[in-house]
Amino acid sequence: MRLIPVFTLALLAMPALAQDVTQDGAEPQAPRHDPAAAMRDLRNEQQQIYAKWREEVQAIQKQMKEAAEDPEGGKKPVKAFPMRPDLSPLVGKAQNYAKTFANSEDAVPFLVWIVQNGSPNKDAMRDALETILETHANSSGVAALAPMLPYLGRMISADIGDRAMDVFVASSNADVRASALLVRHGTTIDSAPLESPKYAAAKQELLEAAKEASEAVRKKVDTAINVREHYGVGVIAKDIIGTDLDGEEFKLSDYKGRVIFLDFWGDW
Amino acid sequence: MTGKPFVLIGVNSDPVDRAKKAVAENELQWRNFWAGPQATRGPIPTAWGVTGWPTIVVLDADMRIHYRGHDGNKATKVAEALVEKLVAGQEGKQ
Repeated sequence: MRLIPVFTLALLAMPALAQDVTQDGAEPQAPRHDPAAAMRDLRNEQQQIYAKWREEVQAIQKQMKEAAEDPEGGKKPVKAFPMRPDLSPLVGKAQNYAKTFANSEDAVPFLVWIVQNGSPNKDAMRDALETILETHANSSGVAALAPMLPYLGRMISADIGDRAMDVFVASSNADVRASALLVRHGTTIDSAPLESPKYAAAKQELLEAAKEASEAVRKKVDTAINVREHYGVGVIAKDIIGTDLDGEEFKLSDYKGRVIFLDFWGDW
Repeated sequence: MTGKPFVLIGVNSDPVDRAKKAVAENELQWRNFWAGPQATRGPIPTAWGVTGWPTIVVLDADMRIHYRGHDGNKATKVAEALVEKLVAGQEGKQ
């Protein structure tokens, strides 16, 4: 009879042995020591939230369409749809994963995820970014945050936005450095006169940083410079030879002699 | 801009059927290049480095680019100023 409670206790303990729990013991996590599985877990949940958000938006759009077609529709209130899904339920989970893999490169994807998706939780974003700046600024994974650099000041606070740019530009990792420089010099590359010393200096610094960077980052830098020098303001555009929607060939230069308003558009 | 030396040209990134439907439904009068089956990653948007839609490029009569961006109002003002300058130049020659 004394064996039964022991066996029962062992059974109760089994789920805890088979599945890790968060630091507060609140919810199960992917197995420890497997950051890839943990990230898959997080992304799966993110996709589920996106799918629900899309359904919600589509339902509201349907209501709006019905209201527009109904003569009395203007009197019916239609809910405004959220511009982006609410990922806040996942922020705590990402924080727990970041803690689980703290002080190793494995924490980087989770910290990056929090900065990218944590809004409007400024505290979580700030904590994650602080950890990145203090511990992981030389990790290539943080280069993914470079496009956000101009907005971090507004999203979190001005001081950390400026500091993040400085730290990224000083990173020993070429991907991080070149990606940040591409943002820092973005306006100069896009709009400074091609013959200006400012443009030349920005281009030189970018190309120098890109030399040691990965192929993907090098390509981004090359594309930015190529687009500016062949399709940017002040440049005589290369011709477009293509077909119209009926398959008939025509050229942009067919309209030379007129002011051309070229609109890249889509009906989506 | 009717009767003035101005033209609006589109580069459309939809499937052809959808693009034609949008043109018909919205009674769009301008001619469009089709970006091809690769849509936003088709050869024209790729060559021009277009990564955001819509992107507007305003070119003068020599095909020199004067505006490139996403602000329709700003693009319109640039185009209007260029047309005015072009018309004034043409009238000056007469």
